[in-house]
Amino acid sequence: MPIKKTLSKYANYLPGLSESYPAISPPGLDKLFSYPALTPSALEKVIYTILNSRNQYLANKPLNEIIYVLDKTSRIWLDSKSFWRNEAIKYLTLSTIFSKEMVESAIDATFSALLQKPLEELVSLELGDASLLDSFCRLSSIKQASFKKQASSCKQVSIIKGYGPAIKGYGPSIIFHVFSGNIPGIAVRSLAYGIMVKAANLGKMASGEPVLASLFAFSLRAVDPELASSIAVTWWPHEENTLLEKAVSLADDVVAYGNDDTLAAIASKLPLGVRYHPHGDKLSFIVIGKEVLSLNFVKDIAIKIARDVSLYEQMGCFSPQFVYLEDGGEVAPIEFAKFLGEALEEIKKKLPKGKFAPDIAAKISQLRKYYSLKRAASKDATSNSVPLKMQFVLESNNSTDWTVVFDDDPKPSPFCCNRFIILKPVTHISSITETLSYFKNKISTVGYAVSESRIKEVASYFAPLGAHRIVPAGQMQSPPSHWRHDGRFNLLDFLRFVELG
Amino acid sequence: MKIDDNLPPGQLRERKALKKTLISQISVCDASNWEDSRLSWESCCLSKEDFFNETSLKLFSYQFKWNNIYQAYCKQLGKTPETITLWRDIPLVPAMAFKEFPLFCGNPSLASICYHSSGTTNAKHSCHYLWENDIYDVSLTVNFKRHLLPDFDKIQIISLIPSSKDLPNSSLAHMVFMLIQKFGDKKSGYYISKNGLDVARIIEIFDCCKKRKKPVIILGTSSSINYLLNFVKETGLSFSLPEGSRLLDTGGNKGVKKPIERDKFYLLIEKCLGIPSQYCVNEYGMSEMGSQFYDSVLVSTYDVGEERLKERPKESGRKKVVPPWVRTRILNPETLEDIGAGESGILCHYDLANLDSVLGIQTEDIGARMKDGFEIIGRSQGSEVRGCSLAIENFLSTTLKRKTCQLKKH
Repeated sequence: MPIKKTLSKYANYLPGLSESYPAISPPGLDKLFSYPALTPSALEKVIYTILNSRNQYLANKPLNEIIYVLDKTSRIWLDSKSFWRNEAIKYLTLSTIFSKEMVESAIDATFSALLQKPLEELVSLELGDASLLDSFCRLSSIKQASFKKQASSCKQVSIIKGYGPAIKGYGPSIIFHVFSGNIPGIAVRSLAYGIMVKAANLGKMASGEPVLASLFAFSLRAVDPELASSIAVTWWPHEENTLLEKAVSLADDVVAYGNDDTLAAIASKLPLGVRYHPHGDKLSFIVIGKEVLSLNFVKDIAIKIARDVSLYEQMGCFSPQFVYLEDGGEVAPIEFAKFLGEALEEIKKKLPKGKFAPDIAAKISQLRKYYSLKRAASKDATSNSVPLKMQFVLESNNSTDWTVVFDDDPKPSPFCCNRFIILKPVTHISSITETLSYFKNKISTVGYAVSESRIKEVASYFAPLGAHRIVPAGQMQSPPSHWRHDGRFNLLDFLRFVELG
Repeated sequence: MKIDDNLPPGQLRERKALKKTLISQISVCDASNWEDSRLSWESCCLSKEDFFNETSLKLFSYQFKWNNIYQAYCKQLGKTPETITLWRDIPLVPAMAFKEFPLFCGNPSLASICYHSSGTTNAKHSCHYLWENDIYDVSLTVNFKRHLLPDFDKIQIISLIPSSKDLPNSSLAHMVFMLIQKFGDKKSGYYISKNGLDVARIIEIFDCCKKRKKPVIILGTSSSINYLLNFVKETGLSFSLPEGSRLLDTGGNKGVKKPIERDKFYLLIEKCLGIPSQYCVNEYGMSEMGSQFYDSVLVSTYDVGEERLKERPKESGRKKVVPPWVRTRILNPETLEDIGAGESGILCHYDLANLDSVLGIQTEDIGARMKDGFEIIGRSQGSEVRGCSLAIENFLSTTLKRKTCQLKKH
């Protein structure tokens, strides 16, 4: 039964906004979401409201208590009966391309990482001790004795013992987040970490996903209204530069997610002194060693790769675009295509395909023909080494649900999202570093299917190339809860440490 | 280099025969006034299904024989001149293939003409090779005459599209050159160069037009026209160009605006330049195709009559007109079958003016069928979301270009 489209009451969360403004909506979503068309002065008022609230309350709240609030909120979201979860499932299913199953998967992954245990692990990993953000912590490693000896030589000066050495971490006063719409949940994670560093957080949602962060803010309010009063979340049109300029002029830190053009446009507006945390275009891929390309393993490997490809419709930075397979195994790279096609067909049952607009399907169809033509144009089309009748583009039946392309050109080639995966044969995994050298520092995740003895070898090739996750195939979309976006620290990157002597 | 020296005799013979048929049939559509042009379009043999089928299969056979890459592609699909009998079965080539493969009936290094697609300097361009412009020029002028100038032989053309000197390898620049040559009066000219729009001269010429009281036609891309409109708005100027003046905006398939944006665009044109929306015609075309598609709005006022249009405004609804020498199918993107009523799908064109390349092009554009034409639907909201996955094409082009520059420095 189709879900009824009704206007959400929770599309935007704006403490301190008392006046009414004309309503605006992302294109095509006016029946679902409505946001106030803020003026720069109205936005400034909202920012100062959340800042004041942060100064009065959040700035002095112990980190462990913040973690407790996030944990309690997350448990609500992980409860299948909870209002917020079901509200999010309804509106994300209606407004994004994702199926209900994919939305639920995103919600589970997001909020599982914001429970007490993973958050405490994160704090332990990055800070060592949560109290580092609450008060000045003495450092026991530096001895007092050397200080006394130094002071005793100055007879005229009286010895001041001092407090330290001690340090305390201070988060920014205001973080402004510009969210992208490709992966539900990233915005929530971004806000949660912004709260943990005790900043006021302003979030601008994207047209592609303009609601989850706001629902999260409302759900936080139900648990801790004072904490939630230091957050504001809304949407405005991408081309509305005056609001962007106002927000960046008042923020200490700006976090932005999007393509490189969007990030560059934001960067051009940042005043000197604002710290920028951009997360942009990335390339991810999978490598398969010939030693595992055997009939015993290929089916399992294909299932794992199908998962990596299908989750989030291949739209996240962890999503692989290419699979590089070594020649010389029992199963030839071109034969692996069939196994992967079967696995992609099978996984549709658990992760149904999202609702794609015709132009996305048009892109897929265009690329399918492109690769067919590329094959025809290649020299191998006339050689005897590869039979002409062997399929080079495998397609889901009568649909654009999935596509597997076999392309023996090692160079990166055109691709699109939405379960479109390109297999490329290589003589050895190491050769990929040469072909991908242009993408240095643009690489996100490398999935591997190799023997255990080769794992470090794989890391040795791709870590220097800038990859920040090198994980088994099948786990590309399941990072640990404390994973570092683009290899950066989640909390430390926002902190300023004050040394107290 | 002469075409006669560069083609094998067999190919030359076949090409000449096809060219003669196509030019003579397309030329039938030419008429000096709107009454005759409507009749001539209807009477053109290519409007009839069996003649179009016969001609397109001959063209397919020629292209299969002389375009090596296309031949290999068709063989791969099992579609050859021996196996297909309907133009709908002629294999479609994706438009993006023109960026990488020389889809040409001959050796591309010997081609006299190569049209590049527009776009950012860093992105890869399509290359559409031609031996000659003859068919291209006939189809372009006949089509333009019908949809933009049904009532004039000559008119002052104000071009906001650069000349071929500033935009070599541009089919759009060549189009403007041909239009000025065939339809432009002595006062026609270019008002844009590498340095941008010459707004001072444009204001001057607008003032002159007003004094002359003769209608003019402005040719521009969506971006150059927008630039002009913004300038006029910001300076507080406004112009009332003489009655009957008209405007052509093009941007190819990249200039496709959503319906709401397009309505606002035309309102602004009327406000700033005094040209009513009925006289603002959008052109949809691409470097990969020889033919163009024009809005029917202006010619409708002549075909149907302004009074009747007031009674039945829906008849003036914007739609792109498919000329008789083209067929446009709209395919369901999932199944690649023709769409049903009320659906939208991928625009695919079979263009007989594409003599030297391939006649069947599958675009990435989405359209919907209308009576006697089609409309283009803007990009969906979902399609803007591309993920943080890398846009390989642009990035690879940018990085390769940077690498090349670095190598050159050393």
